[in-house]
Amino acid sequence: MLRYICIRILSMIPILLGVSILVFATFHLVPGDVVDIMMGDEVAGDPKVLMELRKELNLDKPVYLQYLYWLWDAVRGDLGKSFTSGKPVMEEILHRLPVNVELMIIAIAFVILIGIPMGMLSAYKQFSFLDGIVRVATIMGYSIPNFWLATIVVLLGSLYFRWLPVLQYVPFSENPLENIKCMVIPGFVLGLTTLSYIVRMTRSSVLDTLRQDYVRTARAKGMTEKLVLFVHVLKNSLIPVITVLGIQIGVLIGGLVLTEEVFVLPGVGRLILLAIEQRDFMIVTGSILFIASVFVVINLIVDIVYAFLDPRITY
Amino acid sequence: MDEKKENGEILSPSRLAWMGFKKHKLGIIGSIMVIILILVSLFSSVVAPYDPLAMNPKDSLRAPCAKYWLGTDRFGRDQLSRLLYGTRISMEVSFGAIAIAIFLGVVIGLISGYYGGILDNIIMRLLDILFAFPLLLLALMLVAVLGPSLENLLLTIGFLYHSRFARIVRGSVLAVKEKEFIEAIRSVGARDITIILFFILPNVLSPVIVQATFNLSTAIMVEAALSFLGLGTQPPTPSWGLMISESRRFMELAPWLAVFPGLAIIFAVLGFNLMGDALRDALDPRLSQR
Repeated sequence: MLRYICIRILSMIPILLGVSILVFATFHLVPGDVVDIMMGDEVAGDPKVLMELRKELNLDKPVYLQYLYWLWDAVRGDLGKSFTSGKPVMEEILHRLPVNVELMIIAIAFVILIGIPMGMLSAYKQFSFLDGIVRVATIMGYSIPNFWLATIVVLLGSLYFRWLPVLQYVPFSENPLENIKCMVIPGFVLGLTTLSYIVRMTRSSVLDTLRQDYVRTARAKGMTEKLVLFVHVLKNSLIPVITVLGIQIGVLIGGLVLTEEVFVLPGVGRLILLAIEQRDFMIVTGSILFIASVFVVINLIVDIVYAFLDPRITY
Repeated sequence: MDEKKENGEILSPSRLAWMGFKKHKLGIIGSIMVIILILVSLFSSVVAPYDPLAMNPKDSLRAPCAKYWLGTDRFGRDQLSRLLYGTRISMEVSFGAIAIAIFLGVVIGLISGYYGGILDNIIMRLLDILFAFPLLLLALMLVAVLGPSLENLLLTIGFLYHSRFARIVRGSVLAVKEKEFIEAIRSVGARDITIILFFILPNVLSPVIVQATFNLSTAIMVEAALSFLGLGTQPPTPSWGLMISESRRFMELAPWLAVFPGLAIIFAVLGFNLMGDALRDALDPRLSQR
């Protein structure tokens, strides 16, 4: 097991290198160089100053050296400085990260707490009325664009109901209760697509498991239905569900940008959008490198959890 | 499509697939929805009652009525016409992007799977890098750098999605290339290119078709999402995502502007998903979910 974990951690390195090369290359796709963008309309400024600035940013060196300098900085947590605010990109990201983490936790909590029981119930009562409703609802669920649903929720909340303190972000440290109140609905909206996939996956996985011989044996030896369901069926059905959840985390991270934008939450997603608008590519590429790295690590964790759950996987 | 079945010229595997597909009621509904979408996008100029770009300041923000079935936006443009033309944009981007993705993915997957070895290893590790990004964010970054436009969006989605097809095709090639009939063809001296194009390719097409249907629905979603964020279709071109984004400023005055483009997206995504489910069950029984 330990060996497997070590191998998986080592295999992350080439992927992270590849990710960094792709981000670096994208940054260099921007027409002109960093200095041109930084100076904006003041390009006509003193050429000597510009030269010095280029030297300071290593722009006078060959590309591979630029990459190595950049990578070395990034590894130490220095993603450069924002063109517009002058603050370190890392600081800007870390400042907003709690919003994203909280949204993700709420979304994943919804997915697991509602999705898995609903999928199990739907499978257990296959072909019942409830099963029918769940199946239709899940098909609908992943056909609804979450940014549209978010827009509609904001519309309903602000127009017809007054129960939603919409569009007013309160930091958790200031007022935990108010904070959770304004994050729950965005979190749910964010998780809806994933929820549908998880319900579907749980349902089909549980249906598979219910047909296994060991389930029949468990019933035959007189185990109560509850025990059969929760001990034998649930545990063995969870493996494909976790795979899907792992894949869906990428979808959730992408959805964060849209959710934050509609609910006006100050997370990394809005940071990126604002930076794109201001052509602040230092922030755009820095944030994306950061998120992709986190995503790679999350995938690693999912893989390890997966290996723990499924003894059939050999390392 | 019914006549096709009756004239009996079709080989039995495809006939079986068709029979499986027909049993799938939701799949039939989905296909009808997709056919409607394609027809609307081909004939949007015929079915749209008004010019989607014609501004009509005195009819600004009208609620749905007999003259404007789905109301008008702030410039007095007819929303129904804009939605119908938006179908064309949406289909153009998704079909265009997925066509690029299929082409790249199938070529890469065939080469990687057939030749194997170091080449296969390198290609697969490169694809892993693409899978290491949350897709929407990578698309966001690429479009932002290339400059927001319909063409860049189409190319970006095509480029990003090819990796999925490449993986699937490679996997199927690995399974097919060990079969005896490939061995037999090789023993009579067929060249690699002949084997790949005429004997392997036809055998890996069904998972590609299934995957393509599902990816069309995701591409519609991604196009709408990026246009919503201002990084796709640019105004005044009518695009569903962009229309939702524009509606937000007048949400309280004109909620219908927010509702209908979303329903259009749901209709399109649902259509492709339902069709995809049925195709998967019919063409790829191993993957079917009850």
